[in-house]
Amino acid sequence: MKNITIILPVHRIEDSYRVMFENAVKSVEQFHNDVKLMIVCPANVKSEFANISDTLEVNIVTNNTKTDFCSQVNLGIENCDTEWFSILEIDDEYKSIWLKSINEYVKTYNDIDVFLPVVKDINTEGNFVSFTNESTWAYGFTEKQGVLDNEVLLDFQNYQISGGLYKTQVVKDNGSLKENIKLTFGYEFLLRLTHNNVKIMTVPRIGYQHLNFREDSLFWSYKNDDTNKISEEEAKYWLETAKKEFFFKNKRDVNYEVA
Amino acid sequence: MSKENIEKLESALGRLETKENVIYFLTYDTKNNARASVKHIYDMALTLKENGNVTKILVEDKTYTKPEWLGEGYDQIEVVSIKEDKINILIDDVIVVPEYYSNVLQQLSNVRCTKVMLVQQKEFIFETLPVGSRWSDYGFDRVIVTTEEAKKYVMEIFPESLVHIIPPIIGDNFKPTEGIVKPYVAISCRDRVKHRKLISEFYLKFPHLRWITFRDMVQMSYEEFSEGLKECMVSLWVDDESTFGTFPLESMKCGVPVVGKIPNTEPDWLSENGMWTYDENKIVDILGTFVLAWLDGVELTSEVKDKMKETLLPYNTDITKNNILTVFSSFTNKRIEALTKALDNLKKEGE
Repeated sequence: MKNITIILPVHRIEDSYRVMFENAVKSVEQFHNDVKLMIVCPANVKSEFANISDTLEVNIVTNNTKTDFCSQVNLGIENCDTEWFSILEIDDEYKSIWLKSINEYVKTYNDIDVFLPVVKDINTEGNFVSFTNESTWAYGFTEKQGVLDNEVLLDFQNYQISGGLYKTQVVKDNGSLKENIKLTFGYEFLLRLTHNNVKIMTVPRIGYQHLNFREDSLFWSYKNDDTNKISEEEAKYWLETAKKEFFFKNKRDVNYEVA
Repeated sequence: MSKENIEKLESALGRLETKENVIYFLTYDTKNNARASVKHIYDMALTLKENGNVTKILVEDKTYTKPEWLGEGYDQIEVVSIKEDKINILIDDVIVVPEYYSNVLQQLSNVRCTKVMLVQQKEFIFETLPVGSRWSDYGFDRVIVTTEEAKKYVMEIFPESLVHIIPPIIGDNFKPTEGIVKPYVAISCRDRVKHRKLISEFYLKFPHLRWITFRDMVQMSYEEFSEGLKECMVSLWVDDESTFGTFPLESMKCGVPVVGKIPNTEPDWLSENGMWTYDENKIVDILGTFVLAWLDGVELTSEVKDKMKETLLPYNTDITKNNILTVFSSFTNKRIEALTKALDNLKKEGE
């Protein structure tokens, strides 16, 4: 029985997005015996995903409201019926060791609710840039080697939520992503989970590859796009906002952009 | 006089037959730091004791620190001190002296028991041995070594010696982990300056791997050592003076691959069972390449895994224990033969 759902939010599929989408799906196909793929997308692109894989069990969830990344993921979580789920970004890929290594950790550490892989960040040329999530294994960095805690997170923000394996019910109980928090929604999510004693561990294998600063990606636009650009001061503001908001399970009705 | 001698010989022979003679192992004080060479001595003593022999650890004085790091079982071996316990070594006894105690050979020259040299570190042979003298000058005509290579060396230098090989026991508490292998590198490096240099060089050459932990495999009990070793993803071994190489074998038994610099004396067991180099400058690159491959999920080839298992076959606990018993029993038999002959001669003289 398949007990992992891979949530893949898609909001467009033309040109280079199609190539990225195909690569992302291909990376899931290597685990077809153990995972289901859930594509969350707006109704107008749904038809593009007919017969996308011969091997995968695919479920397409149509999003009729907000199609930002957080809202798409949240809808995926709401519709998730497996014990675990993972988030896959369209420009990212799972590495072949992901499932095997994560399964080993799931079997060994049954008190852990979230397993993050070591993420290999690459640039648009495919060259290695850095690792993410690995620092929990640095000696003396966290209270227990490999386990991420709230205290460390308050000082160190560089963690990647995509590619992680999450216990569905635990996330449902603790609230999912807050789409009204710009830039630091992933950070706020991890802060909230650790604050609520959800145990998060890094699996020390390169299980996920993340494309850094792809042109027209959300984070690229925060850095380079004239309309979306975030200044250093604003980035600090979002960090501080995440640190204030993680006490609340659900997003509060605050329009931060105006505030 | 002759009657007295006959009685002495008869009683010595009686003790040998009933295994009441004592086998002494001269041992140095590790101040409770784990040392493979001392474990080998205790393993021999314990194996013989379990077989019904009387074995004693012989130390310089009562300040000797009992090696608690060895764990349970070893404390049943009696420890006696040369200074305080007024040891009376009899002709049917055996004394095993490690090579680094060559300075006491002179004092033992008048003792008429079976005298055995134990060579684990051939570099120490001449450190305290008077220039130009040989072990046999002091009655040490039997030698125990740990490797074929060391045997060849001893035979070249002291061809009159009877040399036996007893490799150390690679204990059964070294076994692959049932848990998870972690991103730790077990490091064993005799030279502490080199130890620091290797770690610094690794972090400088591979800054993105600064989160990888080096686990210093010193000052641990034997149990902690084996538990700590088995959860490492790789072992790093740099020890130019090593003549046997217990650490890499212990790693292999745990299923932990070894990156190592081949020491000045090549170990007998060296083959394609690890990632070996003669060039110390390449060690860090090899380690970094392996760590990155491990993070990517690359497994050791089955050929290397098989080689690792094959390498360990001769160091199996039962084989080595039998080996210990056979060698020491040959000492006893030889002694019985010599004493019986002497007794017959005395009896003939008396007739």
